[in-house]
Amino acid sequence: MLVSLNLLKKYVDLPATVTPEEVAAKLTACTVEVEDFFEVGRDLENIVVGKVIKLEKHPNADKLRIANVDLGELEPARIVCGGINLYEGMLTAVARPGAMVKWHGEGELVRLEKAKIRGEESEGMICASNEIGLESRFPAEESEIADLTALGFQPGEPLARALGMDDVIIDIDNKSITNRPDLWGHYGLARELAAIYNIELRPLEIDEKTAMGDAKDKSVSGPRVRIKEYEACPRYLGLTMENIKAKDSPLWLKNFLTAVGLRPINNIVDVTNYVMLETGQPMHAFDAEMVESITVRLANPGEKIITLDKVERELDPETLVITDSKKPIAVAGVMGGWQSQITDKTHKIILEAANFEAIGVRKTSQRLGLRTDASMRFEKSLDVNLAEVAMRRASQLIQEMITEVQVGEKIIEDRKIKEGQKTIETNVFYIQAKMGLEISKGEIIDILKRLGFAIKEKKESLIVTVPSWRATGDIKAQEDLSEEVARIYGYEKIKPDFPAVRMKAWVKEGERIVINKIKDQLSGWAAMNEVLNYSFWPKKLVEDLGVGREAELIGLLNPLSEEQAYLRMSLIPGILKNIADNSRFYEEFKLYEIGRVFLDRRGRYKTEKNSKEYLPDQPYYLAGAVVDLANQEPFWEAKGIVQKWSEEFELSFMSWSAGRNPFYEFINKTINKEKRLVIASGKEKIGWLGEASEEMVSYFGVKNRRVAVFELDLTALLAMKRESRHYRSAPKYPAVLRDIAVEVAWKTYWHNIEKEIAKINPLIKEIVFLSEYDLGKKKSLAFRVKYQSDERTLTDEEVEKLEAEIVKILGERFGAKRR
Amino acid sequence: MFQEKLKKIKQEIMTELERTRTLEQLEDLNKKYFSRASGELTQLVREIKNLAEEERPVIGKIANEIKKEVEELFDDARTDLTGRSVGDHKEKVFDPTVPGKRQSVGGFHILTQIRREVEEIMLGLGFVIVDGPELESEWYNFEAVNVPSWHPARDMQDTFYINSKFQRQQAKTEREDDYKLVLRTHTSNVQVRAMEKYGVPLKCIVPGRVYRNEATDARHEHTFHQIEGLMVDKNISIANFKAVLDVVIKSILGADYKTRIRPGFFPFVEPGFEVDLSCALCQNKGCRVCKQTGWVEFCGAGMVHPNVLRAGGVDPDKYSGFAFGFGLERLAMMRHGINDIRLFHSGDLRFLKQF
Repeated sequence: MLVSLNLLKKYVDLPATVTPEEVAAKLTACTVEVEDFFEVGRDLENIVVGKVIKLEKHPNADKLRIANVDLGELEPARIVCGGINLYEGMLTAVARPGAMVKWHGEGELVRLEKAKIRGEESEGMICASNEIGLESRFPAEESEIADLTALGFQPGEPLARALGMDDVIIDIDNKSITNRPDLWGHYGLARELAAIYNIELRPLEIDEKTAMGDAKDKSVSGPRVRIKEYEACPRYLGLTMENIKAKDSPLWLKNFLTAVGLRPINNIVDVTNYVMLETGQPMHAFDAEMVESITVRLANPGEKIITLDKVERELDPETLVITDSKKPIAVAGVMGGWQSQITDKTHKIILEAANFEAIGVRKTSQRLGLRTDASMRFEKSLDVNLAEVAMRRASQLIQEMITEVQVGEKIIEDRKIKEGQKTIETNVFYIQAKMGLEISKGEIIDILKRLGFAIKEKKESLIVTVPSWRATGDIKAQEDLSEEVARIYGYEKIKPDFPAVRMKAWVKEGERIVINKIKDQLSGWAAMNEVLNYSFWPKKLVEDLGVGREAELIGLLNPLSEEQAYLRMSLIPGILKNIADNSRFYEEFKLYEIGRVFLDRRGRYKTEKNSKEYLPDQPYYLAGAVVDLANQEPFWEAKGIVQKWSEEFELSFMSWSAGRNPFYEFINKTINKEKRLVIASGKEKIGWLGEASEEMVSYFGVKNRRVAVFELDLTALLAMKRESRHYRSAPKYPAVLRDIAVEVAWKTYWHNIEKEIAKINPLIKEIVFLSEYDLGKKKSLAFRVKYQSDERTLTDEEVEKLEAEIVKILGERFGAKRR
Repeated sequence: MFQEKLKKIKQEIMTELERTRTLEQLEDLNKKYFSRASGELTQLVREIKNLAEEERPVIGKIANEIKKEVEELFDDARTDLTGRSVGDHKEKVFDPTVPGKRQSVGGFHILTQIRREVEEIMLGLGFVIVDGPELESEWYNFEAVNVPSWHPARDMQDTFYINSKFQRQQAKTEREDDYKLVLRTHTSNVQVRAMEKYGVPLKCIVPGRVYRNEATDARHEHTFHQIEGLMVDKNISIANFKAVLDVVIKSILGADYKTRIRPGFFPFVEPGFEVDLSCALCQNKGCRVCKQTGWVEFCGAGMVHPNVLRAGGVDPDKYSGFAFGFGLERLAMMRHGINDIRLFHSGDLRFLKQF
């Protein structure tokens, strides 16, 4: 919201030494966030009023003329100009070198330089209004120069000063006033400044003659006002005015509206907007020719209205409308209707100032996709008293501007409002404790009074009456009062002070600790880089991978784009995309990610404490990838990494036979049919490991690389009980190491050989794989066996006997031959 | 044919060499291939004499080259494993200025690093670290933290809503809009969960991923990370919050950083604060980045709203507390001068490896 410092100063006398910068800083520190502040005329520097004295033909161009312009200096300036409406004696805007102008009203502002135009020196530029950002105030046809003659300025006068644009605009972040309906108008902010600087707040000038009427009073000329929905509209005021002539507003009003970002329309509409900006109460004016009486009701099914933005809108029965007793003439609190708007033919109007319930306006505005200055204010919950203040303020202003106006004798009103004031009981100790500060009772009372609260002291208690403009939801309890005191007192004055704490048993969040440990290992000795990917899966990915068939896939109801159509069920696609992106810059690398995946089945979190319902499952997964050149075999490194870090979890690998998938169908597609394993913890399958299939690798655009990936369900893994290690004393007797190489069929898996050997004799303590190589039709497997006894040193004979046993058994089981 | 055999054996030797980790293994390997009696390569070379006469010189030459090459590889491996050159002779000088053996290293995501730093500090202050769901019920994400259904934060454009068949079956409804789940819009969803689980007094932080349904650019992301802090006990004050906040900022960013708190509106706190940090770029003097104010927004905070305490089963007449939440990405961007928030989820190693 844009705020005029000049209008604020109308209600408070700020100390003379206070700069706009300081006002902005104070408001930010105590009340609302000021995003920016700037002088209105800042873009009009080096632009002055000029008087055209003489016009000459340009010797080299038909469409250009040379104007001799009085700029208040001894010699007139010679300026080349193409404006068609130039005449001698005309007052206009002249940009001098250094000024910022927008050529032909288009593009960015550029700095004007002295220039030769078609061979003739030009000492400046005579401007059209859209070249200096004044098009809304001086509308003109194309190629027409801004004509200021009627305004009677002095040649040479800086244009900003001449136009009364010496204001400073403060830009307030709307988000910081969502809870403060009273700050959506200048007067509310002036009240804050009065409290902050501890100075007097002047009252609004309102029309004293216009008294409140009664809806049943038939003697009053003007419409009947009837509210059918008091919940949605607790109060509606109407005031009739005759002998109206809609025309341009006076310059000060146009200046003000333009400066705070509104387009001047005509005097009547401008006054309603001005009053809204001043008081925070939105108003509306109807052409009374079209409106006999006013009824506020819900729209009938199928009813339509053309709103002021010229759009025809179909209304549903939840929408509150203002009607002329037959058809809707405005959408309550949002926008007026096209038909009853003020035009140059209007001579009689009805002014509206009403109170509409916040949530209703908000919903209507959402349904219609229409956010207006009015709806933004109503949805904050306005003070019902404000409607009357605004009506009388508007009446005052219109009478000042249109002297011949005939104002209806009374304001017509219908209302059903809760009477009575809101009080809150608090005490000095509470506020002191909340702030952590020894603030005195006197100071607390003083601050609250400055903000409009009334206080009664009752022993230690303070009975605080909340002013009506703060009582619509903003100030509800003593917490809110503590904020009022603290912010005006100044947060910066509260000294940091550590709390005195009561100790409590430490809660061990085991999952985090283990995840940290896993990360330490993967980023440490495994030399992998951690990545984080989005939790979303694009629609295209789901279609291409055929994941749509997965029963546990979760979709979004309102994705921003198709990139976020679903939630991920696996971390692998994200990692494969990372690989494609990075392989342009790196030959070999290793990545991993730990993050949640989302599965549409019962998870472990409840939806509410006492509910029987659970949220969908969202376990942490760990996925990793080893990327190497295409002639390498990264599978072994990936497997080595999983083996190494999982030692403490006692994971095991199981073969992954065709058609049996540990997780999801689409993973079959992702992994090479041969080079793959299931990762298990006990009997539970919790993950898998394998080479990414060629299909997948090329789908993600990974070129000339071979990729091995693994993924496992960490949450499932961490849920398993782990036993702490028990000490074993170091062996007393030496071990004997012997290598054996056997020739076996290709289909003989090492895994089975190892198992078989381990069964032979307890003296066999360890079997270490050494190598596998190609013998053509068969393969050779070499391994090392460690023999050791806890009771004696083994003899050569014993070891040889065991070795022979091994060879024999491998021969029987697998047809192995020793090499 | 024979040539291929030679190449194959060379390939085998190279593969095995790469797996060799100890000198012992290396010598075994040496024996396997070069042993006079049974070395595989020795045997193969021996077979050359059985070849046709015209083939012999060509193959012989290739075999010799391969043999030499492989021997060199063995020497290199031996050097690697012993750290010493093989042929020690007098002219040789050990050059200690040659770079050390390259180690391959991995890395933590920068957000993991910062998150751990914050966790460390908070653990030191006696806070516990709590986790919570990212896919959340509207109750915990909104109502429980005093964001009623009509609040602007609930607008469809800010929140990702989820379509869960499982959830509808549980709730026994088929209408998608009847029962909605959300991707949490803040880590504040864990405030009430933590109070329910641990009771009071409570000091906890909640690091985690949050989501906003908004368009992305260099400053905005639909996915980012927050750390929520919550302390509830008897007589917790604004002054207490200022002390804790100070420790966090100064530990992470450095002692030169100044903080200020000013009014701000968040439904789950009362009073609510915006916490600003002194702008690092201009040393608090005012520049383009801080819009001439000398301050940049850092975190939202406040004294826990009584409705939130009540939702967590805590009596607001006896207890009070403070809460704060800040973005990890923003902290990283400030500290490291990162100018595009989208880099964090890019998986780009050129970015990740810098930290």
